[in-house]
Amino acid sequence: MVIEAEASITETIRESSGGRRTFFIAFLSTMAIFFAVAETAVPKPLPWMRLGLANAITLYALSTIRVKEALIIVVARVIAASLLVGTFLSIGFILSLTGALASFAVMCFFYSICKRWISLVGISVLGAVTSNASQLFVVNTLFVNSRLSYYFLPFLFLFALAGGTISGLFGRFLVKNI
Amino acid sequence: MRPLGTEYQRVTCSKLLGRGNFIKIGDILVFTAVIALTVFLFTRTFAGDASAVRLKVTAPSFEEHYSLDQQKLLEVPGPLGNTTVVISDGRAWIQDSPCKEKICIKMGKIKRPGEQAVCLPNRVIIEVEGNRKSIDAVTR
Repeated sequence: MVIEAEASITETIRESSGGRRTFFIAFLSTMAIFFAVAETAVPKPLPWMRLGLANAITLYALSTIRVKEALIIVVARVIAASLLVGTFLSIGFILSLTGALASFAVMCFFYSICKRWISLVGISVLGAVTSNASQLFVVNTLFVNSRLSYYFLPFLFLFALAGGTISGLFGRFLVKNI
Repeated sequence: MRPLGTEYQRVTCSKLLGRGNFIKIGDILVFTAVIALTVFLFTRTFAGDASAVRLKVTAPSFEEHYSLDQQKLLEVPGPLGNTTVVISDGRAWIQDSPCKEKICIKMGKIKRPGEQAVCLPNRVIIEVEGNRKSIDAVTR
Protein backbone atom coordinates (compact mmCIF):
# COMPACT_ATOMS: atom_id res chain seq x y z
CA MET A 1 0.00 0.00 0.00
CA VAL A 2 1.38 3.42 -0.95
CA ILE A 3 0.39 6.39 1.12
CA GLU A 4 -1.06 9.01 -1.23
CA ALA A 5 0.16 12.51 -0.53
CA GLU A 6 -2.72 14.77 0.37
CA ALA A 7 -2.92 18.39 -0.72
CA SER A 8 -0.13 20.41 0.88
CA ILE A 9 -0.86 22.60 3.89
CA THR A 10 -0.21 25.67 1.77
CA GLU A 11 -2.94 24.62 -0.66
CA THR A 12 -5.31 23.80 2.21
CA ILE A 13 -4.76 27.21 3.78
CA ARG A 14 -5.19 28.95 0.45
CA GLU A 15 -8.53 27.35 -0.23
CA SER A 16 -9.90 27.35 3.30
CA SER A 17 -12.72 29.61 4.39
CA GLY A 18 -14.80 30.55 7.43
CA GLY A 19 -13.82 29.03 10.74
CA ARG A 20 -11.04 26.93 9.24
CA ARG A 21 -9.46 30.04 7.78
CA THR A 22 -9.67 31.82 11.14
CA PHE A 23 -7.96 28.80 12.65
CA PHE A 24 -5.15 28.94 10.10
CA ILE A 25 -4.64 32.68 10.72
CA ALA A 26 -4.42 32.01 14.45
CA PHE A 27 -2.05 29.12 13.77
CA LEU A 28 0.28 31.24 11.65
CA SER A 29 0.14 33.99 14.30
CA THR A 30 1.19 31.45 16.91
CA MET A 31 4.08 30.33 14.73
CA ALA A 32 5.20 33.94 14.27
CA ILE A 33 4.92 34.60 18.03
CA PHE A 34 6.92 31.45 18.72
CA PHE A 35 9.77 32.52 16.44
CA ALA A 36 9.70 36.09 17.74
CA VAL A 37 9.98 34.91 21.34
CA ALA A 38 12.47 32.14 20.60
CA GLU A 39 14.71 34.71 18.93
CA THR A 40 15.14 36.64 22.17
CA ALA A 41 16.88 33.61 23.64
CA VAL A 42 19.53 33.59 20.90
CA PRO A 43 22.71 35.34 22.09
CA LYS A 44 23.54 38.39 20.01
CA PRO A 45 26.53 40.74 19.99
CA LEU A 46 24.27 43.80 20.02
CA PRO A 47 20.84 44.00 21.66
CA TRP A 48 18.96 45.42 18.68
CA MET A 49 20.19 42.82 16.21
CA ARG A 50 17.52 40.38 15.16
CA LEU A 51 17.46 37.44 12.82
CA GLY A 52 13.87 38.16 11.83
CA LEU A 53 12.67 34.57 11.69
CA ALA A 54 9.15 35.79 12.50
CA ASN A 55 9.44 37.67 9.24
CA ALA A 56 9.56 34.32 7.46
CA ILE A 57 6.02 33.66 8.67
CA THR A 58 4.98 37.07 7.35
CA LEU A 59 6.45 36.12 3.98
CA TYR A 60 4.64 32.81 4.07
CA ALA A 61 1.37 34.60 4.94
CA LEU A 62 1.92 37.11 2.14
CA SER A 63 2.26 34.37 -0.42
CA THR A 64 -0.63 32.22 0.82
CA ILE A 65 -3.40 34.39 2.27
CA ARG A 66 -4.85 37.85 1.74
CA VAL A 67 -3.04 41.05 2.66
CA LYS A 68 -5.55 41.98 5.38
CA GLU A 69 -5.13 38.62 7.07
CA ALA A 70 -1.35 38.83 6.85
CA LEU A 71 -1.53 42.25 8.50
CA ILE A 72 -3.52 40.72 11.37
CA ILE A 73 -0.74 38.17 11.81
CA VAL A 74 1.95 40.86 11.88
CA VAL A 75 0.16 43.05 14.45
CA ALA A 76 -0.83 40.06 16.60
CA ARG A 77 2.75 38.83 16.56
CA VAL A 78 4.20 42.16 17.66
CA ILE A 79 1.69 42.66 20.48
CA ALA A 80 1.67 39.09 21.78
CA ALA A 81 5.45 38.65 21.56
CA SER A 82 5.99 41.89 23.46
CA LEU A 83 3.53 40.74 26.13
CA LEU A 84 5.42 37.47 26.49
CA VAL A 85 8.87 39.05 26.55
CA GLY A 86 7.69 41.85 28.83
CA THR A 87 8.27 44.92 26.67
CA PHE A 88 4.64 45.82 26.00
CA LEU A 89 4.18 49.60 25.43
CA SER A 90 7.87 50.25 26.05
CA ILE A 91 10.28 51.91 23.67
CA GLY A 92 11.25 48.55 22.25
CA PHE A 93 7.61 47.78 21.56
CA ILE A 94 7.09 51.07 19.68
CA LEU A 95 10.20 50.35 17.64
CA SER A 96 9.27 46.80 16.77
CA LEU A 97 5.74 47.87 15.83
CA THR A 98 7.10 50.61 13.56
CA GLY A 99 9.61 48.27 11.99
CA ALA A 100 7.08 45.50 11.48
CA LEU A 101 4.43 47.76 9.93
CA ALA A 102 6.89 49.63 7.67
CA SER A 103 8.56 46.44 6.46
CA PHE A 104 5.16 44.83 5.94
CA ALA A 105 4.02 47.76 3.81
CA VAL A 106 7.16 47.59 1.65
CA MET A 107 7.12 43.81 1.32
CA CYS A 108 3.43 43.86 0.46
CA PHE A 109 4.00 46.55 -2.16
CA PHE A 110 6.88 44.73 -3.84
CA TYR A 111 5.20 41.35 -3.59
CA SER A 112 2.02 42.56 -5.26
CA ILE A 113 3.80 44.70 -7.89
CA CYS A 114 6.67 42.52 -9.05
CA LYS A 115 6.65 39.06 -7.56
CA ARG A 116 7.58 37.66 -10.95
CA TRP A 117 10.91 39.49 -10.79
CA ILE A 118 11.80 39.27 -7.11
CA SER A 119 11.90 36.06 -5.10
CA LEU A 120 10.98 35.92 -1.43
CA VAL A 121 14.64 36.37 -0.44
CA GLY A 122 14.87 39.73 -2.18
CA ILE A 123 11.55 40.85 -0.72
CA SER A 124 12.71 39.76 2.74
CA VAL A 125 15.93 41.78 2.39
CA LEU A 126 13.92 44.83 1.33
CA GLY A 127 11.66 44.37 4.35
CA ALA A 128 14.60 44.00 6.73
CA VAL A 129 16.28 47.13 5.39
CA THR A 130 13.03 49.08 5.71
CA SER A 131 12.49 47.79 9.22
CA ASN A 132 15.93 48.85 10.40
CA ALA A 133 15.87 52.20 8.64
CA SER A 134 12.41 53.10 9.95
CA GLN A 135 13.36 52.10 13.48
CA LEU A 136 16.44 54.29 13.36
CA PHE A 137 14.33 57.13 12.01
CA VAL A 138 11.84 56.77 14.86
CA VAL A 139 14.64 56.60 17.44
CA ASN A 140 16.15 59.71 15.99
CA THR A 141 12.95 61.77 15.85
CA LEU A 142 11.33 60.64 19.10
CA PHE A 143 14.08 59.80 21.54
CA VAL A 144 17.68 60.66 20.73
CA ASN A 145 17.51 63.54 18.27
CA SER A 146 21.17 63.55 17.39
CA ARG A 147 23.02 63.24 14.16
CA LEU A 148 25.24 60.65 15.79
CA SER A 149 22.67 57.88 15.50
CA TYR A 150 22.99 57.93 11.71
CA TYR A 151 26.44 56.45 12.18
CA PHE A 152 24.63 53.19 12.93
CA LEU A 153 22.88 53.17 9.56
CA PRO A 154 25.52 51.29 7.48
CA PHE A 155 25.89 48.66 10.21
CA LEU A 156 22.14 48.26 10.40
CA PHE A 157 22.02 47.77 6.64
CA LEU A 158 24.66 45.05 6.88
CA PHE A 159 22.68 43.28 9.62
CA ALA A 160 19.51 43.68 7.55
CA LEU A 161 21.23 42.09 4.56
CA ALA A 162 22.32 39.06 6.59
CA GLY A 163 19.12 38.66 8.61
CA GLY A 164 16.88 39.32 5.62
CA THR A 165 18.65 36.68 3.57
CA ILE A 166 18.38 34.08 6.32
CA SER A 167 14.70 34.73 7.04
CA GLY A 168 13.97 34.94 3.32
CA LEU A 169 15.53 31.52 2.72
CA PHE A 170 13.54 30.18 5.66
CA GLY A 171 10.29 31.66 4.31
CA ARG A 172 11.05 30.23 0.91
CA PHE A 173 11.65 26.85 2.51
CA LEU A 174 8.27 27.10 4.26
CA VAL A 175 6.40 28.01 1.06
CA LYS A 176 8.01 25.22 -0.95
CA ASN A 177 7.84 22.44 1.61
CA ILE A 178 4.74 22.72 3.74
CA MET B 1 4.45 -0.29 2.25
CA ARG B 2 6.87 2.61 2.47
CA PRO B 3 7.74 4.04 5.88
CA LEU B 4 6.56 7.61 6.34
CA GLY B 5 9.96 9.13 6.98
CA THR B 6 11.64 8.36 3.67
CA GLU B 7 9.65 10.92 1.74
CA TYR B 8 10.98 13.74 3.88
CA GLN B 9 14.59 12.54 3.89
CA ARG B 10 14.64 12.46 0.14
CA VAL B 11 13.39 15.94 -0.60
CA THR B 12 14.61 18.14 2.23
CA CYS B 13 18.14 18.94 1.03
CA SER B 14 17.36 19.84 -2.55
CA LYS B 15 14.28 21.80 -1.58
CA LEU B 16 16.14 23.76 1.07
CA LEU B 17 18.47 25.16 -1.55
CA GLY B 18 15.62 25.45 -3.99
CA ARG B 19 15.21 23.94 -7.38
CA GLY B 20 14.72 25.83 -10.60
CA ASN B 21 14.72 29.61 -10.53
CA PHE B 22 16.64 30.17 -7.33
CA ILE B 23 17.73 33.74 -8.03
CA LYS B 24 15.56 36.14 -9.96
CA ILE B 25 16.75 39.34 -11.58
CA GLY B 26 15.13 41.51 -8.92
CA ASP B 27 17.10 39.76 -6.19
CA ILE B 28 20.37 40.67 -7.83
CA LEU B 29 19.15 44.26 -8.14
CA VAL B 30 18.08 44.37 -4.48
CA PHE B 31 21.34 42.89 -3.23
CA THR B 32 23.45 45.17 -5.39
CA ALA B 33 21.46 48.22 -4.30
CA VAL B 34 21.69 47.39 -0.59
CA ILE B 35 25.41 46.60 -0.75
CA ALA B 36 26.08 49.77 -2.77
CA LEU B 37 24.06 51.83 -0.27
CA THR B 38 25.97 50.29 2.65
CA VAL B 39 29.36 50.95 1.08
CA PHE B 40 28.30 54.50 0.21
CA LEU B 41 27.13 55.17 3.78
CA PHE B 42 30.31 53.66 5.22
CA THR B 43 32.56 55.87 3.10
CA ARG B 44 30.41 58.91 3.78
CA THR B 45 30.13 58.60 7.52
CA PHE B 46 33.59 57.30 8.34
CA ALA B 47 36.08 58.23 5.63
CA GLY B 48 34.76 61.57 4.42
CA ASP B 49 35.20 63.93 7.35
CA ALA B 50 38.01 62.14 9.14
CA SER B 51 40.66 64.78 8.54
CA ALA B 52 38.42 67.73 7.84
CA VAL B 53 38.41 70.79 10.04
CA ARG B 54 34.87 71.81 10.84
CA LEU B 55 33.05 74.43 12.82
CA LYS B 56 30.68 73.10 15.44
CA VAL B 57 27.90 75.49 16.37
CA THR B 58 26.02 74.59 19.54
CA ALA B 59 22.90 76.31 20.84
CA PRO B 60 20.10 75.10 23.12
CA SER B 61 17.85 74.33 20.19
CA PHE B 62 20.30 72.89 17.69
CA GLU B 63 23.76 71.58 16.98
CA GLU B 64 25.28 71.79 13.50
CA HIS B 65 28.60 71.30 11.77
CA TYR B 66 29.79 73.61 9.04
CA SER B 67 32.75 73.59 6.73
CA LEU B 68 35.15 76.49 7.24
CA ASP B 69 35.85 76.77 3.51
CA GLN B 70 32.82 78.87 2.72
CA GLN B 71 31.26 82.27 3.10
CA LYS B 72 28.32 82.00 5.44
CA LEU B 73 26.23 84.14 7.73
CA LEU B 74 24.41 82.20 10.42
CA GLU B 75 21.61 83.41 12.65
CA VAL B 76 21.81 81.17 15.72
CA PRO B 77 18.73 81.40 17.93
CA GLY B 78 19.30 81.52 21.69
CA PRO B 79 17.26 82.50 24.75
CA LEU B 80 17.98 86.22 24.30
CA GLY B 81 17.67 86.41 20.54
CA ASN B 82 19.73 85.72 17.44
CA THR B 83 23.51 85.52 17.59
CA THR B 84 25.16 86.29 14.26
CA VAL B 85 28.00 83.92 13.37
CA VAL B 86 30.15 84.63 10.33
CA ILE B 87 32.27 82.07 8.48
CA SER B 88 34.73 83.57 6.03
CA ASP B 89 38.19 82.75 4.63
CA GLY B 90 38.62 79.66 6.80
CA ARG B 91 37.84 81.58 9.96
CA ALA B 92 34.73 82.04 12.05
CA TRP B 93 33.65 84.65 14.55
CA ILE B 94 30.62 85.97 16.36
CA GLN B 95 29.75 89.28 14.78
CA ASP B 96 26.74 90.31 16.78
CA SER B 97 24.98 89.05 19.85
CA PRO B 98 22.08 90.29 22.00
CA CYS B 99 24.03 89.73 25.22
CA LYS B 100 25.12 92.56 27.55
CA GLU B 101 28.88 92.07 27.81
CA LYS B 102 29.71 91.24 24.19
CA ILE B 103 32.56 89.00 25.37
CA CYS B 104 31.85 86.56 22.59
CA ILE B 105 32.54 89.22 19.98
CA LYS B 106 35.77 90.18 21.75
CA MET B 107 36.94 86.55 21.64
CA GLY B 108 37.80 87.25 18.04
CA LYS B 109 38.21 85.06 15.02
CA ILE B 110 38.89 81.36 15.42
CA LYS B 111 40.41 78.97 12.91
CA ARG B 112 42.60 76.33 14.61
CA PRO B 113 41.15 73.07 15.94
CA GLY B 114 40.25 73.48 19.61
CA GLU B 115 39.61 77.21 19.48
CA GLN B 116 36.29 78.46 20.76
CA ALA B 117 34.13 81.53 20.92
CA VAL B 118 31.38 81.36 23.49
CA CYS B 119 28.40 83.51 24.31
CA LEU B 120 27.26 82.34 27.74
CA PRO B 121 24.20 84.62 28.17
CA ASN B 122 22.79 83.52 24.86
CA ARG B 123 24.15 79.96 25.31
CA VAL B 124 25.84 79.80 21.90
CA ILE B 125 29.16 78.02 21.45
CA ILE B 126 31.19 77.89 18.27
CA GLU B 127 34.19 75.62 18.21
CA VAL B 128 36.63 74.48 15.54
CA GLU B 129 36.87 70.71 15.47
CA GLY B 130 39.48 68.56 13.81
CA ASN B 131 41.82 65.66 14.33
CA ARG B 132 45.11 67.52 14.15
CA LYS B 133 45.11 69.58 17.31
CA SER B 134 47.93 72.04 16.82
CA ILE B 135 47.72 73.31 20.38
CA ASP B 136 46.42 71.73 23.54
CA ALA B 137 44.55 74.75 24.85
CA VAL B 138 44.09 78.43 24.24
CA THR B 139 44.20 80.98 27.05
CA ARG B 140 43.30 84.59 26.66
